[in-house]
Amino acid sequence: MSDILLQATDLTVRYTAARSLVLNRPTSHITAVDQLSLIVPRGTSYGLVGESGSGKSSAGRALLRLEEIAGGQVVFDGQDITNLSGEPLRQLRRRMQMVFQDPIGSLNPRHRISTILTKPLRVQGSYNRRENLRRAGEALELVGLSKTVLERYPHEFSGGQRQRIGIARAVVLNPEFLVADEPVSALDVSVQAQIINLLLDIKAELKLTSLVIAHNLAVVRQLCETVGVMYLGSLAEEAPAGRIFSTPAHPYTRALLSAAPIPDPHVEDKRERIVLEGDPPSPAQRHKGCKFVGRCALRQATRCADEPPALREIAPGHRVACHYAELLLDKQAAATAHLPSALVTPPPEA
Amino acid sequence: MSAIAQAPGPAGQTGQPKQPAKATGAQRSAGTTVRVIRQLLRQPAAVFGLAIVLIVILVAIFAPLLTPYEPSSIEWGNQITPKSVPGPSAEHLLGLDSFGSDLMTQIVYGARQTIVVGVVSTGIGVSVGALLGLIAGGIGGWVDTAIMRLMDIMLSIPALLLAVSIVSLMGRSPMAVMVAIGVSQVPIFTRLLRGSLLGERRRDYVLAARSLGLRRPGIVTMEMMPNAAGPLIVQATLMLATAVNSVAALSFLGLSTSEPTAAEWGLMLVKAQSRLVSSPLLAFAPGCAIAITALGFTLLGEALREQLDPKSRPR
Amino acid sequence: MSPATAPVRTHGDLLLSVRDLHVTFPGHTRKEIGTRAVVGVDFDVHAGEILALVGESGCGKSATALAVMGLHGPDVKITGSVEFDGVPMVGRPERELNRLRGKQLSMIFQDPLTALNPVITVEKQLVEVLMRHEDLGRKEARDRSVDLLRQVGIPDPQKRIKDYPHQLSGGMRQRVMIAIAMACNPHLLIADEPTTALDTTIQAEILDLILELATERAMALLLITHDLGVVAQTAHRVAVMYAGRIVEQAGRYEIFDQPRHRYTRGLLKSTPTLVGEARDRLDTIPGSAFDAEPWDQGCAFAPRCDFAIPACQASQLDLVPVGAGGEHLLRCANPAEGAEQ
Repeated sequence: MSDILLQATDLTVRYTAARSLVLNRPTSHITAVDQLSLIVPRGTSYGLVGESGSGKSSAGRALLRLEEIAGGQVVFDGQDITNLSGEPLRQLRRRMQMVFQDPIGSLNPRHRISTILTKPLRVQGSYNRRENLRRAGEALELVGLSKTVLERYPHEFSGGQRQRIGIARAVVLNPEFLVADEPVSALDVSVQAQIINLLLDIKAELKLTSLVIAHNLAVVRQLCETVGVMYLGSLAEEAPAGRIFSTPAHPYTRALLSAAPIPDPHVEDKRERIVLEGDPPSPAQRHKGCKFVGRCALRQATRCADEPPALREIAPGHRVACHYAELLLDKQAAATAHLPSALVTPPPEA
Repeated sequence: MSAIAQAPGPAGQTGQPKQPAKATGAQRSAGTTVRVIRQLLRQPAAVFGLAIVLIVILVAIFAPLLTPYEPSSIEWGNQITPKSVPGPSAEHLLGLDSFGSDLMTQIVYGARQTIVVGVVSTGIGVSVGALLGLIAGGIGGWVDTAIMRLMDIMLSIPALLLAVSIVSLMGRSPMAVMVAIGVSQVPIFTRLLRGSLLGERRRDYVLAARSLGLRRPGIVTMEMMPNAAGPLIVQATLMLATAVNSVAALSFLGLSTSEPTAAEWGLMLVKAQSRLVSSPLLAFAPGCAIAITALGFTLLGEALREQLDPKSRPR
Repeated sequence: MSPATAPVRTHGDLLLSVRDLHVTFPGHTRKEIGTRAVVGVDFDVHAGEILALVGESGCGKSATALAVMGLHGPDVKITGSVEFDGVPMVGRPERELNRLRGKQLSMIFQDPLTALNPVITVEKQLVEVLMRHEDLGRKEARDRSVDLLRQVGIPDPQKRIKDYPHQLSGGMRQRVMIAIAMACNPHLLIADEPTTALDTTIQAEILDLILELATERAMALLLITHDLGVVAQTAHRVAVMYAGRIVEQAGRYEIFDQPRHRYTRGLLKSTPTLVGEARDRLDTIPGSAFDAEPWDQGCAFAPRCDFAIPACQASQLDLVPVGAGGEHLLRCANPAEGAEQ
């Protein structure tokens, strides 16, 4: 048994942006995930953060083979699952599950909780109704609900309870790998904390490996050991959670961290915000060099625009896709030191 | 209107009040059907529509018990003169028609004809339409494109023209009328179901079903259909009203039967034409029957829409 | 820029006063009693002040804001008093409200895509407000519109003004919303979750913009949000709502440093944060506000509260000042000590 449960290499996902009028053939594409490579070791949580359009959800779904993969390779537990189909793919589904953002939309409103929770078992070939109900009841208890809710419908529950049911559905098959796509962002603050703790608990109890997709950095910090920051379909930076929040080495990560509101007025008073120029470019756009170049305050005239930065390791487990990551870190180390003037391109007139 | 004034109303915002307190157990868990019926019975318009529909159905079923005469009997033909038709009397509550049949009997038996033709034709429309919609929305790709283009073509032909050509192909018969009306309804149901399936496809529960390894036909029929069926039921009820009118229209054009004495509301209108001035009741009675039946289905359909399709609920 | 008729306002004057506000949404049927979204809310907003109304969904914060604007539908029952600039707002005819709305009182919403009319250009939407309230000609209104767009940080406003809302990014749309809301220099801006729908980096920019404009124009701001981080960044005073009532109200530092209400404290402790030591588990508040019953008897939070005592159930709880200064208001029978966190 290897230590790596899931590995993606150069994973690419494309969506059709336009179709021909006559034959409905795709004529242009948007690259949502652009050669993403990541490794999730067994028993750990990997947090994928990014803003809308960064491709983090598409990546998560592609890893579960719920999205068509346009290129690259996904290896799960030593097996290449990129082109799996039919029965082997169905077998695989039992081992990898998903928790969704919207606790309302992800439960079929016309089905009772018992149907929702026993369906995974039936799909996977277990037809003993009593046994299935027993396992559904167990899953409910694991997520902190009582067996008595089995006969009810989703609309009878609060958002937090529905999210618990969604988690119960994901774990009823006892999977090894769980993708949680924005598991708490639709919930209220006080309920968020409950669900975060629940996810921590079941991860420990079931020895789950997971990928947590979120836009909220604090949520990922709470849940994950490793964090990857995505920008326009690729990883901008990846590091252990402890490190990425203290020593971010990509200008985008720094901007993201500086923009995240912190519920402490004393911290807020002292904080310096890094303001990014403009809006994120559309994923339909092609990039010759660094994708972040248009919004980066540290860009250098030709290199950043022409040469795409590789994701390179600058410290153990810390990978950055920026030509000037070291300079940024040096600057951080000596807060007063200034970057070489050649590096700083003044922002264009607003 | 300024942007400020168009601000979303209170209901659409996050300020949504707490959802109604959750009752427990059996009462709330009652199935959707029971809940919908319970809600329906609280709306006066729905109750009214339901009452009309039930009455028409009961009249159709118990026609022989409601009138002592045969619908196509013309035994009082000798009482008809070119100038006049005997009006209401104790023996004949609505009087006679121009062939010497009892008008009341014709109306009562006409309900039978109308309900049967209406229901069967709409049944054809719903089943064929839903099947095509299911295939188009469920499979997608070129199948979807092909089906939808075909539906576009069918929709571009006026429904009545389509029906007339089908009847002339199949020959005059009630069956032909049913098929004709049914076929003309097909594109409406196909588009409707395909549309709601496409809407459902984007919802997370479908993705969840896929992540469980459920096969596509299973997802479309077991997961998506129950959610997409609401609008279909509503539309079917509303289409029954249209079908009632179409049946009358085709009979009026003489396409349903060659039997002049058949109990058929549309046919009765034709026969009443020549005597519109002297005996308006001959046209008025079947006209009312058609209008009231159509009204019943429309009221019921609209009320159902309000229950099954929360989007249309007025705020 | 304000028209000469508008009274000159100095910082600190009482601008908005809400007393015993109740908002009840109608039930689905005639017999059903409606949903009581707001059950007795009192607060003041002074000129130039930023008051944050914080709470979780269903706590009545947005219903309160809409009641202040008079934007609830006719079937929503509103009682109590809302005085804006000394003039009562509740029960005022729609026509008079329209004269105030967009001029002295403006609102921006969470989702600019639905709050902007999708089939009308930015220019038309702006010009219309200006012509209606400011008595400007079309050309002047247009010039002013371009100027406004520039002020809210939209690059190339001459060109962007011709766009339809869907042609703009989320951040730009929210800027347009702000421009429209600011068009007539309102005395009070109500912002209902203005940054919730936006990405983190854009969110920060929009918040900065709102703060900057508010300070520059000495405009009061009533900020409705669920995000304590946003509150920490912006507010002068904070009112925490639960199940339709304000449970605690205090200055910004006070509420974060020395929260007294168990709910406020629970909210703060259950929020994951980026600063400080990483915690193994978050502290949580058991249950959810979803099932909370309004305040008929005692404290609505008591069923979820670890510190509930018999007094919480029995007594009529009022929002009363605690500590020195009378600025910190609390509605709790068994409050936390002031000092420890």
